[in-house]
Amino acid sequence: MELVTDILRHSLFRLTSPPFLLFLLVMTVVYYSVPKKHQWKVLLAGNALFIGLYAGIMSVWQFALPLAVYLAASLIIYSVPIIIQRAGAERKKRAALIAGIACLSLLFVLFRLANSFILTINGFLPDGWRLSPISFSWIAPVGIAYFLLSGIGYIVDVYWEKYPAERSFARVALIAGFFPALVSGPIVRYDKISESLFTPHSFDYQKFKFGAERVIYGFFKKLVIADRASAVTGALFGNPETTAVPYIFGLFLFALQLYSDFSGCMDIMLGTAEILQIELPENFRRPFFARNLSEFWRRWHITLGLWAKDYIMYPLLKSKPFFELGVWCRKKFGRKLGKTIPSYVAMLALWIIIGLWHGGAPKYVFSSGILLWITIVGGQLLQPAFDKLSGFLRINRKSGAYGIFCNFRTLCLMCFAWLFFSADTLTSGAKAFIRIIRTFPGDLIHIGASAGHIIAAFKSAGYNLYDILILMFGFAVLLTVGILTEKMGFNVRQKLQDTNIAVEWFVLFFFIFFVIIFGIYGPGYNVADFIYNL
Amino acid sequence: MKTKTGSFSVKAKNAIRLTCFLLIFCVLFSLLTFIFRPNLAEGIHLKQYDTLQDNSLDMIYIGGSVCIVSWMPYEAWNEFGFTSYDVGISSLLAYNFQPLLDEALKTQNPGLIVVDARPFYYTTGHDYEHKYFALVLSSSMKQNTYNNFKVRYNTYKYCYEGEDVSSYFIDMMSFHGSWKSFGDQVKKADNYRKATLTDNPDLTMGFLFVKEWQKIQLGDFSSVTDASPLSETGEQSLLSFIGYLREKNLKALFVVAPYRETEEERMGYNSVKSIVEENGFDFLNANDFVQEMGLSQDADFYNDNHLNVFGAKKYTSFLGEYLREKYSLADHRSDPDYSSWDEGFKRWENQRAAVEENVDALMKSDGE
Repeated sequence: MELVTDILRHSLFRLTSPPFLLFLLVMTVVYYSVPKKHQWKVLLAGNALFIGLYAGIMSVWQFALPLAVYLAASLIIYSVPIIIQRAGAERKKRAALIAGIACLSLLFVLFRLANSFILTINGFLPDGWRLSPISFSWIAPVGIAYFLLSGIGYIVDVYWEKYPAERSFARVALIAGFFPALVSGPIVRYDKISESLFTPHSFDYQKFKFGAERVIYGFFKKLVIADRASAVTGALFGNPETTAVPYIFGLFLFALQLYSDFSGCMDIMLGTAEILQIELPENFRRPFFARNLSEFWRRWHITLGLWAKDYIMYPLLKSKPFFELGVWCRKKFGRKLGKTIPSYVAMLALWIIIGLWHGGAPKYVFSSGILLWITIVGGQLLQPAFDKLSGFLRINRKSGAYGIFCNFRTLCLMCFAWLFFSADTLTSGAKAFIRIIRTFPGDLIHIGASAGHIIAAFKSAGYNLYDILILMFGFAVLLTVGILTEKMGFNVRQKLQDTNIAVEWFVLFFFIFFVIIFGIYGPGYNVADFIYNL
Repeated sequence: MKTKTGSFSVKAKNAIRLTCFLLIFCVLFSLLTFIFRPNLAEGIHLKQYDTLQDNSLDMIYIGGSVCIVSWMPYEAWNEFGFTSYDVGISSLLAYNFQPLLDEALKTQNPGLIVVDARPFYYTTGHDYEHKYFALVLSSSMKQNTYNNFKVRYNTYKYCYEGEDVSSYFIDMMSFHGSWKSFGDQVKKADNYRKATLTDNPDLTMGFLFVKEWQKIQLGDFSSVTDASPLSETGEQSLLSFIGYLREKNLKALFVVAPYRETEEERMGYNSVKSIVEENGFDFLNANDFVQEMGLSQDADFYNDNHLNVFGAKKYTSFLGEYLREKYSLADHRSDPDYSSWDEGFKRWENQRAAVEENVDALMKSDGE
């Protein structure tokens, strides 16, 4: 018994570790076995278990404290909309709204940003004056950054009277911490998710199968591609001697890693929700097919972009100061600029908040915020010039080749932003950028040495030619599925379902065992967390 | 009614499909696990132990690589008539002695346990360098037993702590990385399958033949009486193992087989000796009897830590005599129930002669 307890205590609960698969199996069996009216209660218990297990069960506190934070946050999310609804005067409603958002933001700052701020401030302080970091992170429930945003959205929706406040605390707690949306999102909308959460569901083999297939595909992306690429990008970025060409190769590989990691996590989570017949919003729509950065952000982390627009940008634009700014700009710069300047300022606020949300460190604010804002706004301002240039060069902007060029340009711009995102600090990102500029001409001359550097990075990660082939195969699968879905409207799972059972099972077993054999996991490898695990 | 039947039939079809899918998965998973396990010779020997006739052993020699390359059970049978088996694996760690012996005692009831004392010195509790063999041990022991789980948990706790414990309980998770040598793995798995058949003729009773040789420099530390403390994990494991031996009412001799010992190590063994003797068990550092054994540092070792096939024969003769005198182990050579040992010895002798010839050739080629 002692041995069993010890083993359980040391189990690491992560999406790609066996305990999660066991959890999913138990959840599925219990969910479809209980009377249908109690199904949502099983999910609620699942939330609590998921949050507790994710934190760890080495001690009662480790399990219970994140759970307590989750319940406290749920209590705020539950009570503030009720207060708003009951408050008669607008002034009182607004006060409740501000208080609710402030409380949730405080939780976010405390659990997610405090250390980043301290570390940033320490950078400017002399020795002896530096502040010691405070670690609240172990108390923070998994996905706090996601469910706080969902909660804020819910409070604001009730304030705007889009729908009434939920009267049951348990139901609010279920929506707030619905476990498939915790690790890396998506950010759920209360009105959208509540129907499928509280509707009774009978076991549906088809949906179960589709969900399981998506989970397998997620494992493939995460364990075969992302975690394999991670060791190489780590070796390239971590070496101060890495010159331009290897670094640029590393950035493209990082793009593959980041996409496989984040979208892999989404596939596991959305597949899990699909097994339970809960509809969660998609968070990705083949982002690398975007022709510009604005479109990229409509395809990448979709729910964050929509949330930020709905709850930051539009309210800001409708606010009195922005209205006055618009009037002032119209007087000063004319009608056109008078209209666009306030929207650019609101966009800046939006991107800074997104940057802060990614972790608060200056590198995030810059790479996931300000830099993207500069690129998007710059692109829009220079659009007339680009139009003239392409007219002058007689470029057919509807041609496939131009489309591919635009896709590649967008990828390059994102890689530039990820140069800073992947660096330890903003300064080291800037240094790496300078190094790339400085060594680029030399690298072009000594291209063999650059290739050698890349091969050395693979070798230092313990990889051989087969690993490179596996990475290439993974990339080919992603690309093929992407093209089939994007360009031909192909539903891969449905097509698989429509083929005969031998082909279907062959494909499924192939991918399952491909992950089991070629995945990066198990003793000797660390169970890697998802990059967007906030 | 029709709809209900239809719906039932769809449900039944789906249930059958799901069951078949899971069955195929299990079969493929088991097959791949079998292929991907290391299937090393020492693992095979642990598995072969299960093919022995119940309660047929007089002695078990348990320990690390020293045990499996130093004690020749068939040689001891031929010279002294008692039956023995090397229950061991390279880099056996102190905390794994108890589960390994406990598992071995499920089918045998030996009168004596000879314990390789070196692991109690080298086990530190941070045994990352020995992780591979710790995993090999768990994959070679009988599966799904408490002792197997214990070894797996120990491996996690002392060799890899900080990672996911559950992956130490699924061999495919531990060894899937060997896909890079898939062809070799298939061959090894096939050898393993053949070697663990009940009527396998190549049984060596746990002894591992090594076709290597090296000259070494032996030191004499017999006069060193100081003792240096063992690591906390080493000492706790030793005490716990001693407690287990007592609980099972077993006779045991703790032995350090000859090798290139250092003064620091001797001081560590002196600690083992004092703990062992304080608890009423015997201790023997065979390094003090190198002359009596007639061991040559130029001919009888294959590296600093291990005897070769010639040295092992000398050590077996010496220790066998010591055991016969001190523990009165029975001589079964005229017992028809043990005739299989005579047959086994003949086959084994041929194997040994071939290896000796090999090592001899190595020595000659070095001389030239």
